[in-house]
Amino acid sequence: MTKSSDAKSDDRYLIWRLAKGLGQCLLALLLLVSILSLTACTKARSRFEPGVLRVNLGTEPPGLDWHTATDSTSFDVVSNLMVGLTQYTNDLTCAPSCAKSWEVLDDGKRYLFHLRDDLRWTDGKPVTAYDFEYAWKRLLNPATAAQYAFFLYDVVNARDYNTGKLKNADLLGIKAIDPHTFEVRLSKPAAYFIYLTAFCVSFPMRKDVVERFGDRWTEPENFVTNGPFRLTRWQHEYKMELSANPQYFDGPPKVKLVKMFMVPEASTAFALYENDELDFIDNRSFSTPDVERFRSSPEYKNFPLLRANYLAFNVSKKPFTDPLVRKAVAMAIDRSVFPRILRRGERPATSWIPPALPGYSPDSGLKFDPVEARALLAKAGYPGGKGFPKAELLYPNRDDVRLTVEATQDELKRNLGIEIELVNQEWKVYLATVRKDAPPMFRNSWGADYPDPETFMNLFTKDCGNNDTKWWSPKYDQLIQAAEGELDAKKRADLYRQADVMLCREAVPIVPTFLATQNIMVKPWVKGIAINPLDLQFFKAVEVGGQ
Amino acid sequence: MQTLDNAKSPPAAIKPLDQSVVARLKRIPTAYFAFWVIAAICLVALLSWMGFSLCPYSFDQTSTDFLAGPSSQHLMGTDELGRDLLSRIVYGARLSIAIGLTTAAVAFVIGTLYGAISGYFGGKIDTLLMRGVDIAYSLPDLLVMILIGVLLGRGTLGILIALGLVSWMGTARLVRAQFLQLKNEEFIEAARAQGQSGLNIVFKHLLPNAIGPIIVALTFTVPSAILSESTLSFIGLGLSPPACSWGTLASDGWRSLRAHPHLIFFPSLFIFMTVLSFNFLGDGLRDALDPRTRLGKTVK
Repeated sequence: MTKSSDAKSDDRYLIWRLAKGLGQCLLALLLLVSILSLTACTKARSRFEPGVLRVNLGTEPPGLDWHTATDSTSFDVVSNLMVGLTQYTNDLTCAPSCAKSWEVLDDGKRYLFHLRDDLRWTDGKPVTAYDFEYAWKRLLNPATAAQYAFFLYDVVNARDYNTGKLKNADLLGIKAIDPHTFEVRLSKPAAYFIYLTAFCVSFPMRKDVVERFGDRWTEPENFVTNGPFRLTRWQHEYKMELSANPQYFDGPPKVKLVKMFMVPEASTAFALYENDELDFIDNRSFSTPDVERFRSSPEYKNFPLLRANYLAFNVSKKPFTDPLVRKAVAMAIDRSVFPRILRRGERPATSWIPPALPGYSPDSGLKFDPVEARALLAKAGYPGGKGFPKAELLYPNRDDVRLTVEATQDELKRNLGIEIELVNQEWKVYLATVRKDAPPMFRNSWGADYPDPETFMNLFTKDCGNNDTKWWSPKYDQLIQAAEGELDAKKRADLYRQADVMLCREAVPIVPTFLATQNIMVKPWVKGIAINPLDLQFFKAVEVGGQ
Repeated sequence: MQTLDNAKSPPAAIKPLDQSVVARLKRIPTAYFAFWVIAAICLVALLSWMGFSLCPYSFDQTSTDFLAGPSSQHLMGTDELGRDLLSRIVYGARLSIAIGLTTAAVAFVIGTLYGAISGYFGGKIDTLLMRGVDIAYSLPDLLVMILIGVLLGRGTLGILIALGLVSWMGTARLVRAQFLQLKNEEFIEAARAQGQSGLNIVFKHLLPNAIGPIIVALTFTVPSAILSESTLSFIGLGLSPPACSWGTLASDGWRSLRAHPHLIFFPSLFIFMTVLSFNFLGDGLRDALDPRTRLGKTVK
């Protein structure tokens, strides 16, 4: 009895072992096949589709309404779907676009834009000055809750209207005089104003479409745009398809279709590129090791960006309420470590204004000086880091960011003897946390919206919606205001330089760390991809095919 | 065997964990070898935890030797910040092993108690408790771990509790099934007839007979916990840098798979070895602890 049941269970056991072994073999085989397929499987297929550009967007854009969007993913799509009054040339000057010409009147306080008369929306209706008036008023309307509303604060009454102090939108300095003339009155001259008319948030908008479809007006079946491409398909979390717009005033673009895939994982996207399933990739699809492997490839290019990374303090939280502590931290970080660990040609930075812009001076910021840093920390009451509370440093969960904050943590431990606790959060959670109640330290970055120091310096004024440091100073705000209205380029640069010194040498609510670069790889059959320091990617001049 | 002959005990042949278990384990070379591998890794982890540095470098000591491959100076190379990978793996062992063993321990205590109560009493209590397990099972592990992580904050304790709480259900079901089966056996009836208390029956008769399958199941819990920890760390609820575990080392390293394969190779080698060893050990213990195969041999 016992024996027979034993034999039976032995049999069953044997079968089980066999099945398990087989399963493991299968798994190993599957792995092997998948690895092989990554490298070798699709060589037989055609390597590209003529006239079709395939790119990686990285993530699903949070929204295509350019009044409420704040992120570069959304702007990457919008800047190919829409054009504004002006548009950037490759060397970042503003060229005519919807406006064929403009006049600057009243010492720079009044702008008169003359619109072309051959402009068409994708549904055939003409683009008029009224569309601009509606869009600009909508951006400033408090009900829209646009974070970028501050962009137009130089317009007469805009600040009061946006903050709710003024209810009547007709008092704004925004007016369509006739269908082809758009007038803007500013409360003070602003040297950078013309740049604003090339940026996404100032693009025109169709009142009837927005009001009819509400939140769903940016879905492809409802969306009405005026740019080189039109949105024809949006498969959420998978891909977007942008087709050439035959009605575009400047002639339709050379590619007939742009496929924007949403592949969040950099290594997956990179594998797709290697496998000829993407024609163009940038930082979103690159990990540092990939850069190293392909640095010498003719397909690889590296561009400096006007994007500054910085370490910010919440100055309302101890121990960073003390400027001495903030200065000590700023002087204890050897910035040369960042390009060495990131290895993508980053440039160390000590000042907030980047070298390419007016107002930059190499001496504006605090230099690396561990001895002086320790002295400052001792003066603040923490000799050798003793008694220093364990401060949190928040960062968004991304590999390259993790490396930089780990390097920062190491520098501070080595040079000041203080311990920093690193906390990471998913990107959207991180943004919300920093906005609501920023931890004592956080890592952030800011990309220029237009090529002027104002886009950087404005960030730390009292009223800026993106100033999360809780730091502000009347003197700083005065300097910025004066610089905004100053028309003499030299005096203006000097005002910004003074503000920069205040920000990076005296008050130190932030520690600039390095300037980022854009790394791209383009397949040989793609021509005409240009990257500018603002990191705007326009696909209208791109050609695919014709080897 | 004769020495264990005791009126209150079940027949000696079914009493597990006696000498013959080790003897039997010795006869299964893979399991025996796996046992020593695990012992060695645990020893290294323990020494590192007690502060005996086994490597010339500290786990968070940076250098300018970025991403160096294996060399005589750095046996397993260095990472992006120039930290010695071997030192980090040794440091990471303590957390990975601690998590594996603690999770198994939590699963053992909660699962066994829960399953024992359910299986011993049966009836309505059983139904009620088992529906509880069903509900706990139906909640996605990751969701539960995130919730606990948010409640308890970051750090090792949170990870340990989170992983423990999602891994006891299997053990509970197993113990209940064993108890339901065993409680109708004749030796339990005999114990009841003797007037032994419920606790006595559970701990002296039922549990020892069910212990074999439980231990085997637990050895499979250990590797899965080691792997789950890396998930938690990846979504930001686990360790905060520069602390590391094998899981975080592997998840950081796999991006460099092609350019710097040593960053992924060595951490995964250790995870692989540990997981494999626990699996072999579990397999071996299953054979060694199975009362039926043993009974067969002794009867022969």
